[in-house]
Amino acid sequence: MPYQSAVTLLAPLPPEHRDRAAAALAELAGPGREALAFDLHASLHFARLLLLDGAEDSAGHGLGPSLLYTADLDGSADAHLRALADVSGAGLDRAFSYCADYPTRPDPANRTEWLRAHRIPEAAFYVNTVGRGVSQVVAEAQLRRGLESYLDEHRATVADLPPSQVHAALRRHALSDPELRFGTVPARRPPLWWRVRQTAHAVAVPAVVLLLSPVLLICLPVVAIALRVHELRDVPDRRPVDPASVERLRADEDRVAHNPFAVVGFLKPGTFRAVLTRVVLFAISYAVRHVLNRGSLAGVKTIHFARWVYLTPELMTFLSTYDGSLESYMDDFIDKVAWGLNAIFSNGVGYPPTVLLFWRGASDEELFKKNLRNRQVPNHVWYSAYHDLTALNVASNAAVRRGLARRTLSDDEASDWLALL
Amino acid sequence: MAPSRTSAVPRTGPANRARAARRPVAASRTGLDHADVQGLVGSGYGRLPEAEFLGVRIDDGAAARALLGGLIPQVTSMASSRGSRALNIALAYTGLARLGLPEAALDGFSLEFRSGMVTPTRSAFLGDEGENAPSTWAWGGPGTPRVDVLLFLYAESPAELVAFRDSVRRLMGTDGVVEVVALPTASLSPRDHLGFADGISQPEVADLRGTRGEADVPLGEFLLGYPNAYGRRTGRPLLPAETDTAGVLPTAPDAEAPDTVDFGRNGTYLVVRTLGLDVAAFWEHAGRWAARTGLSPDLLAAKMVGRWPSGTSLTVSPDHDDDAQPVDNDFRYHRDGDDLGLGCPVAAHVRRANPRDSLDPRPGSDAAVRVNNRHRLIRRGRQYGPPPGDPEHADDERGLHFLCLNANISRQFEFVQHTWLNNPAFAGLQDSPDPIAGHRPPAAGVFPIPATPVRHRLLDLPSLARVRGGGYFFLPGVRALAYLASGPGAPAGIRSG
Repeated sequence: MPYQSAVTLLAPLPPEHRDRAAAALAELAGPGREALAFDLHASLHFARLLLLDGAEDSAGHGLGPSLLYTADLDGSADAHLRALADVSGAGLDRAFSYCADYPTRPDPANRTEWLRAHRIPEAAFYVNTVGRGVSQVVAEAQLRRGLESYLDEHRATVADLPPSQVHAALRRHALSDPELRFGTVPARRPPLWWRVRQTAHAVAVPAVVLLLSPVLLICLPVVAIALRVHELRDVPDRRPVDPASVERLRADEDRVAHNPFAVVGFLKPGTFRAVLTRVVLFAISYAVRHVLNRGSLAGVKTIHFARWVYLTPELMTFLSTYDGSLESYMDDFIDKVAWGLNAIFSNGVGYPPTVLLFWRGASDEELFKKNLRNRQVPNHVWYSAYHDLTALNVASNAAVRRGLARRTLSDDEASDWLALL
Repeated sequence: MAPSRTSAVPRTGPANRARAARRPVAASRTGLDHADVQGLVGSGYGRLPEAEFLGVRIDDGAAARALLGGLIPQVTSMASSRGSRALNIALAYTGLARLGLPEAALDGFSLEFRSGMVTPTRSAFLGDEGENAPSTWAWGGPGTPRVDVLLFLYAESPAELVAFRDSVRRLMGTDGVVEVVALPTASLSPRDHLGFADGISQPEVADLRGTRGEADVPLGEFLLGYPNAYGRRTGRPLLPAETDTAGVLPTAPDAEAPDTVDFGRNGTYLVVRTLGLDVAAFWEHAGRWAARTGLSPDLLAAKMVGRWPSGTSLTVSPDHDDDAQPVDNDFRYHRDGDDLGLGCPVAAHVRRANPRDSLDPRPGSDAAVRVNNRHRLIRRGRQYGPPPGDPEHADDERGLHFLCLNANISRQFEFVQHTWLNNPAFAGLQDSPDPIAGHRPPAAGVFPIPATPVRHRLLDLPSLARVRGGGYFFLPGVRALAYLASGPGAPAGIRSG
């Protein structure tokens, strides 16, 4: 099974075309869905198109109106761009034709070039479970449905058997059903070359950090003092939320099992904050790449994908796909990983006051939630390959498949496995 | 042949459970003035079995203020709830505006309260769509008169209630305030329409009655003006002191501007939802699946509710009802061995209305309970309609006027309704909304009953609870009511200093 990649494209939009682009996106989100044909991409988990309104900070840094495209996918990013340019060409044309340098006579080749030219890197990319591709998610959901139907119909015949025999009966049923047979063998892991590369990175970074550790330790108190000085000078954003904006955002939320989330915000000005943010993002990037890739983002299990992206050196965006309501998402984070939220988001303008980066901050619950809502932007077009599955559902279905793929299970193991169904 | 794991949930006795100690303190640390808190916060008036709720529309602010002034001497507070009658008053946002509450205070209420229960996004969020849509409601919806004030009348006997209601109606006069809906209730009964004891689990609130236990929920989760579960005071309506010329309102020492008074202190948000219950469909469903699963209908009913009819939890007594009184409510799901739901199914109503220690972080731990306690509700509902057994009134509408109190509507009531009850993916389930109180398209839910070796699954759950009306209200402190009755201290439109 493949590894996962991210694609982020940013294309500036001439201000005079902003409204027309907005109308094009609205059409693509509704009646024009087929032009984008996202469902024809077998490797695409989630994709979205946003129209970002221009933003400028007090120093004049910022971004004019722009279109942002993001995709969470399996396999090579470049392959996705080529596929986009081909299969989704009509939709891309409608969305991006107002961009200054979009080809006037688009064809797959020059579209691909344009897409490549507008690709920007992600500072950190979180994947819930590395190696689990779209086809695996969809197939395992179907496997569960098949096993559940079998149990619904034949419970009486298996209810008196010991758990290991029930497991055997289910295996026999799956083997006999062409739609379910795949579930009797384990899922494949990502390719070896990719795993080797990951391990090399996993080892190299701590090695370098260890080498530099004396220097880092000396710097730490200085950094702490400088940080405290900055924190005492920071001004939190206490603006109330705008009910109309919230209403507009909520209209797109909670339609299916998960929601796309996007916030855009300026970093606090100055070199100190710029460097601190880079360091924190590097740490996050390392952690999500090597540690937090097995179903839990430091305790939060409801996020499918997440990424941090620099739109400009001063303007950052955070995008994620999460299960449940925004309220439950924010509560989850505040309750479980407030320190993590603080570490990265306290570098953004207006964040609730923190103490030494990790403390306070998000635990000022109402101020934190207001800040988030005030910086949240709508996702004009959004696609999900499995919109009725939560991250826990996907994980549970994978566990069902893992159990089914074992030829025999002991009674205890089978008992645990059957509790999943 | 027998499975190596025991199928029964281990019985838990007092020795196995550490009960949360209640340490009475000499005086309440927060100095809660019981005379300022309306009685409904502290008690459901169990001694007053008759009740009726009157919805009133305000056409003229002065007439409404006169009505309030006439009612305030009869308003029951937590210090005075001992008579043969009780009266409490709650106001909708529209009611507060019409009474002339300054805009500075109006802006201090939560977004949910200000926009109300009946916006398109909120209805979608709460599952109020299709047959639950506000357009079908008997009150509180767009097709019915606006309810600005809700009066809650309680009495010892039916005759007393009639007399009480008539005296209140006389105070309303003929002009300026109009009674637009009357919501009668059924006499308090130990069992609900489904035959189950209800209202057993109420949160233990720290400092509400001058005591504080270890696992108590902070006072600020239910009353504005006090620290909540995050140690902060929930945003509330504050006013500059000069608008309170009579000096009625308590001060707000923690406010940013000096000389600020707190209109919200000792008040709370009251969520009201009238839920019609299809009792016949419930028992028909239980009967049909009893035939298919081989389990008794009573067991299936108990599994869906999560308790036996006596109120005993399925976790405490998995196999049969236990008429021990008082009901043992001091259990926890994971700690007491019911993590898989073999006793009380994970999808059962009471387990998802209050998961206790079932959810992350670290299910079974105190941390899980602490996080759970950020989504608690004080329930004060009353049933309506004739008991189902009555053959003459078999087809009459019956159900529950669901009332709950919370300081943060979004994190408490709406969270429980959306993320726990209606959510088909609650706690890792799939396609399983609450079998009783979940709102979803008809016949589209599944109810899994964990069992060994293999679960039972009830399919095609009918829609049992139908929303018939509702709204978000504010239950002010008594002093705040007096402030409202005395009229705004300054012209409308004043902004806070």
